[in-house]
Amino acid sequence: MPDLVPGSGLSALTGPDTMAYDRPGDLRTVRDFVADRATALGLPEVRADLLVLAVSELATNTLQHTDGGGRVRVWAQDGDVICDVVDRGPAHDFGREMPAADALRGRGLAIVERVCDAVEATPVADGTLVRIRLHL
Amino acid sequence: MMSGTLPPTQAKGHPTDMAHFEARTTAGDGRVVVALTGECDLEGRDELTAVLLGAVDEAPVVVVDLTGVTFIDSSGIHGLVTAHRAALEAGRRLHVVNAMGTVATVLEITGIASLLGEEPAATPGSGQEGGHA
Repeated sequence: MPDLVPGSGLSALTGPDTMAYDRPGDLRTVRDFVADRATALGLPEVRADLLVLAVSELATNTLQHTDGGGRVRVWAQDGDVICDVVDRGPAHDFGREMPAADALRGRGLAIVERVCDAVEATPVADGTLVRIRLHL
Repeated sequence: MMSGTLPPTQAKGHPTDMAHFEARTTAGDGRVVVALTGECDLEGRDELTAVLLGAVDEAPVVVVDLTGVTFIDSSGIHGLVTAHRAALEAGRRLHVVNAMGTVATVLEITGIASLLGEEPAATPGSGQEGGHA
């Protein structure tokens, strides 16, 4: 694992493989950033699109349900492309079913779980780290 | 509001950003076709919802053409479902057509493809269908 460890928190996510977001207009930039990074790391385009979708959902979740923004970091390790999304929100409630097709809300995290190979949420000093993986 | 091309949502603090979402509405033959272009995310969600609700007011059948949509997530789906529910309440119908790539994947895994997909009678690929009723 890179230098980020649970407990290090939002401020520890820095560097060239990292980007911050704090408004809806940033979501496109986050998606472009993740697509570029994931493709450069060798993830095929169709799979990179799924990672982009998942990150966009997590970042949207940040903007809708927490104070302030978040940070995203993308790297590769042991045959996975890994993306960390850190924000000041409480622990995420993963393991949920996809809502009914005509439900208005509750799809975001369910979509993340459906398109990623692994999802885990970890409390950090000032919020929550969500780590998602797609196999290369 | 219901015809012509909507201006891009203004992106505060990002003056160099290009338009990311457009809706072009075409009416005729008892239906309205809303052709979407760009990315349907949180930034454009309220605008998308307003356009679709306006279309539901205009005609008994609304066809949302996703040919030009390169990205959609739960925020965009929120707009589609909001308009779908308004259509049902009014005894009307809203369909989506021409989703491709990851956009189609999102509609599949959320059940929207089954809920709002049009029957095979729809004209695929032609974007703004002329109608032959």
